[in-house]
Amino acid sequence: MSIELDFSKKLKGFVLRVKLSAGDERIGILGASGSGKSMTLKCVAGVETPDEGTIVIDGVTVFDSARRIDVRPQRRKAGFLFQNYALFPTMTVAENIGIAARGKGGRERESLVSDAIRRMGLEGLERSMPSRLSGGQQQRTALARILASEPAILMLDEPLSALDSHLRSSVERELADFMGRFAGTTLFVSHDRDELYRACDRIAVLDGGELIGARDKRELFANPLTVTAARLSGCKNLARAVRVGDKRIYVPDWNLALVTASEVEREVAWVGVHGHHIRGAVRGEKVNCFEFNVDRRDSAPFSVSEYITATREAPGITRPLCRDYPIGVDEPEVNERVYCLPPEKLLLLRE
Amino acid sequence: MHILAFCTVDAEIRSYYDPINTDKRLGIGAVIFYHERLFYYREDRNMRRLLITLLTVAIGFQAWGAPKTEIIVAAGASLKDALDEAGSLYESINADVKIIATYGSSGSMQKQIRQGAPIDIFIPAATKQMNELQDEGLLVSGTRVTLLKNKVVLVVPKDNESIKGFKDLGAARIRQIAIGEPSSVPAGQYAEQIFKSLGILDEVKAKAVYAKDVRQVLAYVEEGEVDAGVVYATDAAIAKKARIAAYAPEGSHAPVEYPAAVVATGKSAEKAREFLEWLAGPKATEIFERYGFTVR
Amino acid sequence: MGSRCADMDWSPLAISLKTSLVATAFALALGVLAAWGIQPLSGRLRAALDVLFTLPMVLPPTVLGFALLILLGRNGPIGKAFLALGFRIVFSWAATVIAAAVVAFPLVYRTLRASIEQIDPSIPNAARTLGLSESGIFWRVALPMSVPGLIAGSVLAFARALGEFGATLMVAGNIPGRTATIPIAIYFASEGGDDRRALAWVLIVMAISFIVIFAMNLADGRSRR
Repeated sequence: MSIELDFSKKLKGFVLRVKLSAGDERIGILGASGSGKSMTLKCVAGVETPDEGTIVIDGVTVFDSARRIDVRPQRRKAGFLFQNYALFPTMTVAENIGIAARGKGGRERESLVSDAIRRMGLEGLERSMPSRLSGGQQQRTALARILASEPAILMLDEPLSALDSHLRSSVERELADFMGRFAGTTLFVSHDRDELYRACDRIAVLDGGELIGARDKRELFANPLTVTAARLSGCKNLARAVRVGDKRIYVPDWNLALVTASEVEREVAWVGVHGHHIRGAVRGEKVNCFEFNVDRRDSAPFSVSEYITATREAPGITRPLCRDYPIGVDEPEVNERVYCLPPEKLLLLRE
Repeated sequence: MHILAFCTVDAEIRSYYDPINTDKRLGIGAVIFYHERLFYYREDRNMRRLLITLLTVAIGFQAWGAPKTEIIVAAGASLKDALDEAGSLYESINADVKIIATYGSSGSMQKQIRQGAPIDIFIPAATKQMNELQDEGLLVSGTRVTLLKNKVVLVVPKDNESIKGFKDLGAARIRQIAIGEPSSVPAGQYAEQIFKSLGILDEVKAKAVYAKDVRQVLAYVEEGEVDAGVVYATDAAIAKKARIAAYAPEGSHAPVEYPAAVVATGKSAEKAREFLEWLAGPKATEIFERYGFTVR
Repeated sequence: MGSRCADMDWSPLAISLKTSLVATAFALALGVLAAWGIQPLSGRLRAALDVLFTLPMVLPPTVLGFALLILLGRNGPIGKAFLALGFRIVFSWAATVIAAAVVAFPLVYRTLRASIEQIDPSIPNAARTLGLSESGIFWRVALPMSVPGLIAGSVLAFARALGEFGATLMVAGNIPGRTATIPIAIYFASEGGDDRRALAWVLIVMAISFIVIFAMNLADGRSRR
């Protein structure tokens, strides 16, 4: 079970362009709010129509603007988990699930329903109404319903966003279980990079309306390649960079001249460095090490963020870098320190 | 375009059943209409100028019309065509007078007089309503006269040959008959008197549909919605799709007399008196007789 | 006053209640069908039909009555068809029901449509991805979710049907014991100078309205639980 997407749709303020192929794997779609993530899923499901392009689900062309093919959502076999689960409020859990077993006779439908209930651990709730279920139970019901419709692919639209944070991890685990057992492409949309990292194999970034391909998640985080990807993957220290040599750049905002580990390509316009990669100088280290003033420290439950600025003689404002370190590490709390930005940890990024 | 709208508003209001407050309504209506339009076109200087001109003309019209004395006549529905013609003739002779006539059921007009409507002359189709008003002191004494008489007839749709007389209405094959609502329409009372004298009142009641005035009875018959109806001879005279099947038998009902009097609540008592006297005179009589009324 | 009660004709009460209940039932059925029928349509056809369905609500009752008379009278298309079957519509009790149903129908239709339009679009979308046909979505998801709206619409419809006068008078006429509803009784009582009787009917109508609204609020409160 696979998908092949190649379509575009004009939205308010930008054009959504999606190009993605996937097999039996879990693909994460990472993007900010309003970037078109939900619209992408809706186009695949058929409840929205792209302006042009093709959509192929499991080898069947369900949309082709050139050949005027547009299969109704009812027949696309694309399971869709909506953000608010969209359970039918006037029906019981069993009825919600039963209604998805399309076209099946009585006995077959019954077994499909009880099977789904069992697999999702909903025994005892068959006759409950959706309004009486907890968030996790609602999600399981929605998933059971999708199971009963026997879809070829699965699409999840920010399934964890609606939950309280303390519930999130248990529900996330259940979801991961479910996805693991689902044979087919899964598209998981979220703005939370950690969720996607845990749940998916490959991740695609929606950047300025463009979703071009999905990359292996480790690769993506280690080597974002674009500013947006870097930002979405959690890098807080991002600034424009100017190439001054094969392996040298100057960052005006930080007032730092840096040496890089790899060659600086022409398209490189930004540089980034993760907060936890900035470290104190090892004895005698000189490369990319500078004196910094510590402006302030913010404590989180298990880590500390330090905002540091390089000392500057020239006029102008230097923007601070953010350095993270976990609590417990023995760090003298002084206000002037020498920190280093290891060249191999610098992310060279393009627009 | 605006003059058209103006005239439409005018005509619409006048065609209302009760035109008694027409001119006031017309004035207020026109003013509101133009204020709304003025506001809408507040940016457009030319439009504003046009509107203000029209508004001035409209108000001027009203003012210019004022010197004419208005006489408001409330008459039974059966008098409509005849009285309209008589009124037009009187206006053409007396240029300083304007006759405004309102027609309907004698009962509802009596109510309006009781509630102080500025009616100058009342001409109901029966004496009951007039007697009551007289007892209540709402008439100007000395002005009451018996103006007209009428006959009661049975009408049927033009192509109906099977009904020959009032007595036929008792038969089972006659399914629906229209008469005026007796409590408010005199013609309905006369109808009931006729059927009572013929001994078929109960049978007729079971098939009756009660109309709010004679014109409606006539309309029912002309459209063929009923098998027969009881109206005045004068109504039958102007009917196009109905014909008279029979005249009411002698003595079967109280004489149909139209009393007329000047009403105390009216505004133009002097001119009204003059008009009423003229209505009893030869020129008006000629018009009424032409429509089928009998005059004393 | 006691003797008046004895010789008062109570038939308008029975006629009004029967007429209003039957008319409301028809308005309900037709309203649901109209809301369903208009679903798959779009653009100008949809807009035109929507106007048509709303029209009886905004037209003056006499205009409506006149239009109905043209359709249902002896020479009208519908009237003629029924006459051929041996049934005359004008001046029959059926005419009171028709007049009341026509004015009540838009109320059901509009409240139902508003109810359906308020439904979170992700619900019908989810239904579509699960394979439910548009028809199935309407009858099994949208309509059950609109029951409160339907109830409200029905109450409005009943009230409107109960008070219908102008159009009823034109197509059904004033036939005591057959088509004379309470509003007609009030009008003619007042015309004939019998203000007491008119007032009695007014009070009865108010009492009925109170009961209906009270019952509706009760039902509403219970469903909110």
